[in-house]
Amino acid sequence: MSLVDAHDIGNALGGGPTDPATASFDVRWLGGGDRESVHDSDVGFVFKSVEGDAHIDWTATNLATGFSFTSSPSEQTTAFAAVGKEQNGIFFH
Amino acid sequence: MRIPAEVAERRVGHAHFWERAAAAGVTRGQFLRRGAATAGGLAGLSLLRGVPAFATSSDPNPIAPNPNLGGLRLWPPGRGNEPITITDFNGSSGVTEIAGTGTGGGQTWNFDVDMRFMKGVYRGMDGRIHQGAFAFV
Repeated sequence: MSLVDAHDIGNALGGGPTDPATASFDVRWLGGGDRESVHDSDVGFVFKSVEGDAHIDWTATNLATGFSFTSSPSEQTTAFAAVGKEQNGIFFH
Repeated sequence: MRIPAEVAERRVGHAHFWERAAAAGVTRGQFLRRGAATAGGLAGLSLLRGVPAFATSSDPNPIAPNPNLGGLRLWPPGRGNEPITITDFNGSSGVTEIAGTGTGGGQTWNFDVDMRFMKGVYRGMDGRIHQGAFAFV
């Protein structure tokens, strides 16, 4: 996909200069963890999910500088991952 | 987004994306202006802004503002949190935050990404029911 390289988070969110870039992502939710069912009437959603680790392989290239990044498939840490079925808004009951 | 390994904290236990955003003192307005750069794959920056670009389009509507994130229309990845960024939705979804390393320019870099998908039926801005798939990158 086409996007921009903003270099760092402060620049990205603060409106600094960016370079044209491309990136590709392959994300896999591995499951195998706890099964959770959340029914939140305050926010208004139902999410029935299975948690577990996830894995990502991604690459990005800054088209202005030629810098290219490739993620390592090893030693990734999943802070959180869940995949499942959700209903919200008019579909929330 | 690239974070030089030599200036980032240890990968295990380092500040996550939304914590770094808060630490950077980013205001909601700044986030909205530059949100597309960071959330490049989101199905339209207007989802974060909550301002329909085309009121009659089949684009989805954003979820309600999150008061814990300055009114942004998303929740951080985590158990019990709304995992997606669009409303009036019925389907499959996934959310994850992953940290890791990679290489570029002969150096090692750390990364921390928030990735989500939504695939199913939804009510669009035009009030009609549509089928579609969206991603938050």
